[in-house]
Amino acid sequence: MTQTSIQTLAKDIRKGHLTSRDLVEQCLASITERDPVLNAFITVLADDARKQAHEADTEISRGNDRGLLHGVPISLKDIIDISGTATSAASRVRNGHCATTDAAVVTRLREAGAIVIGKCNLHEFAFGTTGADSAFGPTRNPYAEDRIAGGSSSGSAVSVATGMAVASIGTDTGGSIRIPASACGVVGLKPTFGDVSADGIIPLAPSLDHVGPLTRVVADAAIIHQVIKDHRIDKTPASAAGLHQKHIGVPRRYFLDNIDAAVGEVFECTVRRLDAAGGHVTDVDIPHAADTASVYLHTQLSEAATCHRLMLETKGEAYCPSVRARLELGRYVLAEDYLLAQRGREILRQEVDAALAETDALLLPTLPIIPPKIGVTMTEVGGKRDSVRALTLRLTQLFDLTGHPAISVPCGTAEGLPVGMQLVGRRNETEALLTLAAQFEDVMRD
Amino acid sequence: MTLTEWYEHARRDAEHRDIPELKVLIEMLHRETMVLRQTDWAMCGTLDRDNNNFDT
Repeated sequence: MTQTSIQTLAKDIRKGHLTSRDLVEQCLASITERDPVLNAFITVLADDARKQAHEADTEISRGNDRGLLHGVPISLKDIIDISGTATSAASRVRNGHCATTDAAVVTRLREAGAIVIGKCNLHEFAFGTTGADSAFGPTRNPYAEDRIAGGSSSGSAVSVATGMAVASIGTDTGGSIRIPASACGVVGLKPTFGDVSADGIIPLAPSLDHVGPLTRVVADAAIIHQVIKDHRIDKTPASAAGLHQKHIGVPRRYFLDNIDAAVGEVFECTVRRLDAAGGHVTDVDIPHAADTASVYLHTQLSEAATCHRLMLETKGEAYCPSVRARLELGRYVLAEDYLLAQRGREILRQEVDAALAETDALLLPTLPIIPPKIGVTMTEVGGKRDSVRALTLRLTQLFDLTGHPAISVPCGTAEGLPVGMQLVGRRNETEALLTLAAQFEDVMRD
Repeated sequence: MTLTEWYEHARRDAEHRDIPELKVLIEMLHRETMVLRQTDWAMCGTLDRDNNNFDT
């Protein structure tokens, strides 16, 4: 079941080969079997899910069909509000919380008939890329339980990879959908900034926060994006033409300067397969790419410190120590540096736009390293020692700064662990990126 | 406030607080702020180019 697409599940339900209740029970069985070790869920809404599944089956049998997501179990990162349920953010700071309304994205999913099966573990307050710092303990990678699942949407990725949910909703401020998607071998979409409302979701850095799906296949991400996005028509309609007519840009300088050899091999193999499929692969350059980390850091730290200022004053001791320290660090950023970073951000945005003016998408790995062991904070790549945090953000954070849509698609393995490749599309053209990503996925599967 | 003055002030402040990781993080932020300020952000206009004597 873990590889079956939403479209196939929906067909099976309508043909009477499967019920929503069956699907929910399969997900709950997977949770019972694997979650005691993997720790993907903070709250499992088993009773609610069973009740909703029964209602969905009844509605569908009466011809009241709400579409492809009707009766499909989905998990949510636990920073997304569900009325009557705690939104823990994986933090002791939130002890005693109970949401009084649904987040906008939950309202959209419920209207489409989706069933929320539970709320997933994450790096505390979405402020980290490993999923290791959580008041509920670390989430473990299903391919190697001593390794990180990636973060911050760690539980979301694990839930999809293991069949605990058919799909999940996560958030991405520096790579938090794409990083765990890559580490766990699933698809992760960060849409264009603003495509999906963040109302009812605990913010980390409001000018960087994106909301998007983690799924088994690209087509599932397209189905969910269609349901949860705000109603805005994309600038350019998606082209159904095959990959052989597509121009793919590879930003080698900076992005491929410092990657693990095994990941590099998977990347070059991907480029060769694209080439063999008739894609036009060319190198492109982002002139200020090497400045991305400094621009990101000053933007993200300042905004996160602002969001958390009251809780830091009153409940500072309740945070995980490393998350608290980073939040406190944001209070030392000077206003002039934040504003200088915003100038840099606009230049980076223009440079990514320019790289995409002559190409249909950019291609680069999602992660430069294979997922490290839980607790490891420094690692060596190409003879250079760097922090796991800096390395895991290195290839993703630029597109949070610029708002371009980006998707991570599984593309093989390195040392037995999944490797994801990232496709980046033009701003306000998320659907076009999804169409291209589906073609890319087909080529990589062949 | 120059960047050097900011760094010294931030480091002293961090020493007084009971957050062990903070001192190391401030060093990292200092390095990244130097990078940010030294970058030629072409949009910054003539003022930055005329006063290219960053205090690092």
